[in-house]
Amino acid sequence: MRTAGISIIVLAATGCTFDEQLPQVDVQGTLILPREAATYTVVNPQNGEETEVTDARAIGPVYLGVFPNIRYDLYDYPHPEMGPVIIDGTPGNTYPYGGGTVGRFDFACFSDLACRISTGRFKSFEDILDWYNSVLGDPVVDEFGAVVDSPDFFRSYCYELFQYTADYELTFISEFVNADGLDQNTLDFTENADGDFEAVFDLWQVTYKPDMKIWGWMDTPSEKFTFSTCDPDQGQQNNKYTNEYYYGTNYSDLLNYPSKYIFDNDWVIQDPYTFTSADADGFRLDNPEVVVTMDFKSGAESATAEAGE
Amino acid sequence: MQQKFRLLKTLLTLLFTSFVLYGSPAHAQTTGTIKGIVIDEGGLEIPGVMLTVESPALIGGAQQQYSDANGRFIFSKLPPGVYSLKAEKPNFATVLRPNLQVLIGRNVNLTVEMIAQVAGEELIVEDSRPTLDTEQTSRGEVLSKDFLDRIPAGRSYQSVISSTPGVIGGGNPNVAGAGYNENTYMLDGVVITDPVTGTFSVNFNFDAIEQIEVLTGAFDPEYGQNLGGQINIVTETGGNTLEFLTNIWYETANWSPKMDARYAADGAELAPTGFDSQYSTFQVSSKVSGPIVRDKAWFILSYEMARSLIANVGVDLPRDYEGHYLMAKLTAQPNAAHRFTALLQADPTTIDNIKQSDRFVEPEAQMRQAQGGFVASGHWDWFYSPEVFAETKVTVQKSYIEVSGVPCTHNEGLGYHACEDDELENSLDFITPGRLGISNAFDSDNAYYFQFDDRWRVRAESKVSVLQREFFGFHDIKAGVEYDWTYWDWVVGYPGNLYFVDLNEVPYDPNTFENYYWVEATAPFHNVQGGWHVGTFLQDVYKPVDNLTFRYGVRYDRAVMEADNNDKVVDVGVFGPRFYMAWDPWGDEKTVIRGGYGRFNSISNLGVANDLSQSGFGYKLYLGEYFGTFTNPSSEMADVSPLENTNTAHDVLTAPHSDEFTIGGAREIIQDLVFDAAFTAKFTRNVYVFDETNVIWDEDGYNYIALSNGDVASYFRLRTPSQSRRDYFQTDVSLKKNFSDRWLLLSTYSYVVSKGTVQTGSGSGLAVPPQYELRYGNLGTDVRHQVKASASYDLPNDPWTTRLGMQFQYYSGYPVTRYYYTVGYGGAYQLKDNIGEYARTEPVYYLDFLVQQAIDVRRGKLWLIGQVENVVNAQQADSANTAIGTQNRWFIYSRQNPLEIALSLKYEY
Repeated sequence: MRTAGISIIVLAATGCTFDEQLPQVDVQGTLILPREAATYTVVNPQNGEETEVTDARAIGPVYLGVFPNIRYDLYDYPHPEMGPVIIDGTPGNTYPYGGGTVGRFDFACFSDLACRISTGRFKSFEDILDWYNSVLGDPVVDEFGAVVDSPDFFRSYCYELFQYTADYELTFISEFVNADGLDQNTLDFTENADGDFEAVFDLWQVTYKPDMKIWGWMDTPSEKFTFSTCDPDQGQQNNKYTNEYYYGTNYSDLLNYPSKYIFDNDWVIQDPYTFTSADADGFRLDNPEVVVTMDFKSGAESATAEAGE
Repeated sequence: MQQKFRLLKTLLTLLFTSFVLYGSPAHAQTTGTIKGIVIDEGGLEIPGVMLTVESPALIGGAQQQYSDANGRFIFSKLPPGVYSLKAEKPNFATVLRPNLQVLIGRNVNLTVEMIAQVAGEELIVEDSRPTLDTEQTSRGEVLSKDFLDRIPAGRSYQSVISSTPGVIGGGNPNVAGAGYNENTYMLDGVVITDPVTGTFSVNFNFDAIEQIEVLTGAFDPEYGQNLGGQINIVTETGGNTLEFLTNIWYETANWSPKMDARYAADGAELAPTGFDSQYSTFQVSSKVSGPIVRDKAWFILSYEMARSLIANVGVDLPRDYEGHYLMAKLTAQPNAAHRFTALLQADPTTIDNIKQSDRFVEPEAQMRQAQGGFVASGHWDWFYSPEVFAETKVTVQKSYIEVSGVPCTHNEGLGYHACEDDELENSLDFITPGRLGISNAFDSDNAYYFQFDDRWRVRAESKVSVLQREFFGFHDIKAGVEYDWTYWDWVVGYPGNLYFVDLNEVPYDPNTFENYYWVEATAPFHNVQGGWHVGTFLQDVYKPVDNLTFRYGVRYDRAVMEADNNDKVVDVGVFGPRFYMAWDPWGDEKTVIRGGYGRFNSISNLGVANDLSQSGFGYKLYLGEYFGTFTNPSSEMADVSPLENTNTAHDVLTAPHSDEFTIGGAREIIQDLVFDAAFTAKFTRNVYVFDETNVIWDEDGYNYIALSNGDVASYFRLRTPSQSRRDYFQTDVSLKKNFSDRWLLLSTYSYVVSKGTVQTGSGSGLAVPPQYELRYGNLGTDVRHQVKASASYDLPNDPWTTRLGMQFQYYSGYPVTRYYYTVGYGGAYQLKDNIGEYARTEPVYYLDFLVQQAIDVRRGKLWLIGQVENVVNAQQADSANTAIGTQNRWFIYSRQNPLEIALSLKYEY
């Protein structure tokens, strides 16, 4: 009887601890963006007058990847090492081990806002209208060209378009009362004591390799507050406007060919976080404190960082 | 010590004999047991009492044995049925115990009290029976023929098993939170589970069923190579009298008001309708049984023709089902030591117009599914001694599915696929390419694909049972081995090696019909797969004292399932220990407290292995006129030969398994009426899932931002991670009266919590998590409140020939999970968490009534039967896509069958 009992416990315990021996890790960390990255220059269309605005809403989507190595001699900015060029005119593949984003493109109901809204940047409908209508001076318009200035109209328009019934179903705004009655405010970036902006990131199921490095960049908004990493011909299809209207979404090879999408003024990680043997037990991460800073402004300086030596 | 050695020697000898002579051994209870003790008025055991059991179901005639030195007796391996037991001894009044119902896998435990007699003969009839099996620990029910006859629970074994607590759905039900394809089905003790899909694979005449045992958990090691329920169907064997039964059954719902299933949850119409659905079924069945040689050889022949015409809303042509179910069984017992059974079953079936989910189908593009197969099985039961017996079974099963266009007909009145003038009746067209319509364009010209699919299972099994009465108590030891060889051979192709895909540029507007693209295949592709499984078990039912039972043992399963390139996708060797206890605290056979632990492993099926098969079409894809480049040869979009399989398997896999804990108790509160309460906790881990190997997603899993290894396509990898799991908790309270003198009852309330990360079991429809942690939440089997009540009552109009029956079932709604659809990249459903509470679909409830009136006629009895199903015409959604897609709605696939009226005539000879 005793033997049977012990056998049962051992067998049950064995089953609970099945180890797939899968060399994958989930990486959590903190990203720091310099204050300048959240500073956007607003040009008055009437008189050309420029005004600088520092606001978390000015932060574009951030792409983070885990790569074998980073080099400083390929482009004017730090860039992952690449494989051979296979297709003429297309750079070599960077073969990332994994990655993720901080914010992503989301369709904010009006075609005027396609490819212009990232998740985790706006708290509410009012916040969006304030940013475009008041701060940027580029009002949001509906499909008839009429200016949208009412948050309630914005909400009802979205509810009708998506057949939603609550704000929490709209992922491009982050301030709402969820179904459990809790106030939510999950903006990605918060201002730290140094005046910079910080965000927490998750990179799921990264294939673990010793000495792998976290590198990435932020897609800085253009003068029209659009983004180079968004493909207006992809994303979910909707026939509200035409039979082939797409919401727009990110390109699907951003981490494979970053140089196709990085332009002047984009912010790039100069000193990538390198995983060392101290961070891992075999291929299991030992909860390292991962902090990366995106402090290299593309086009503003040369990529000759110390880490590249 | 000598006795121990003798026991061991006997066991080993019989096991060895089984292995060598019969190839293999094992399982499935198809019989029951009558056992007990004979005592005198003072409670002292009486040895040497002659005990005789008799039953019309007992081939070989009455069985006799003397009570042992402790006054005990045991009649094992009794075919299910109603028995009587007689106890005789000089100087004691003879005792007769009639109406003992033997259920499969159950014990009838008797205490026979004999009274000393001075002179003369006296017969004491004690017409009472134990209704509780105080040695049983498994969860589930045995549905007797009496129950099946009296309850309006449907006329198929698939439908009646939903009467059991913890069983949800018909057809292929979810049992105790497991997937629909995780049950094991057995027919007269042999496995008939589909070797490819893990679902049921056989149909037969409902009237030929003797009993159905539905085990939902805590079963002995002789069962269990899967994570769901064990459904044992035992058919009739015949008897010493010639019996004949024929039944005509017609059921219709064509006149009753029906709601449209094409509505969204909020009532919005999803597509233009305007048609009513059809629903009617017709069955003619017969069976004849009787003796070939009285007490030595019996036979039963059974046949059923089942026809149904059922059309989904808006679909012109009904799904036209015609099945012919045949069964022949011969049972012979030439002497007391040997019993032989030969079983042959076949169920050829054709189903025309199977495209019922789309109303835009021209008759010539409708499809036929021909299906069926046969089971041929031989059994040998060897009664070596009253304490030792062995059984061996060898089975060959073939099932097939053939999908093609509907054969043409010159009878234009049917509206079916019409033949051309020079075309032969019933001819099939494998030349004309089919046109498949999307965006509500019509399917036209021909069925766009065909499939020929053969599945084989060859199985051999043996089992040895040894009763040991005096080794620190009573032991019922069983050991067995089983071997399965499974094989799957299928061909898929396109008529003319080509098919077109058309659309309406303006939805619903046929005037905007255009060709979207077309596909040219090099040839049909052929896939051949195989697998094998060896299972063995050793178990003991141990009673150290009369009122305490331990059931323990272990089974070991070794299984290999290969893809078509002979890669061993499933390659497992797993142990399943079980330990249960049953305690009758007062020893009066009226109370039992039971519980225990068991591990159940899945050996999976060929469907899982097929996900890694390499066979595929070599094909070219061309853009159609929709793109304005109708003849542009540069529009080739792909040229792949053969189609590359984007699935792989992780090197380290384990078998999905469940650890189940049960506790409960039952009490016979008045004669024959039992109150039962039970709690089950079941933890299932390492369920098969596919993981995206090389896709890197954005933070929410909406779209991907890269591929990790530079490939053009995304690859999926079969895994069995521990996070792939289901947690299931079920609490039942039941009131049961299993044996009917005038009324019977089976009523249960169950509270169920079912949460986890993976809904389905192993199979081809595996979960596809993104590169994202598996999300834990309510599963589709999380139907919290389940009420089931079945009852019958015989009106007191002597003789009792008017029967009333009813069934009520209530299920609270299914959980609605919020999924979003990734369009453009991969197209996989992904769960978006933190987006709100789980909604539920509306509750589903049924109320059915049955009235049966018997009329004595010459040489038999005629039954007039009327049945009303869904009396209140509830039209709740019983099948829904509960994953919210782009429209933020859950979609109703179908609603409950509307109010149906069935009329039947049954004649018993």
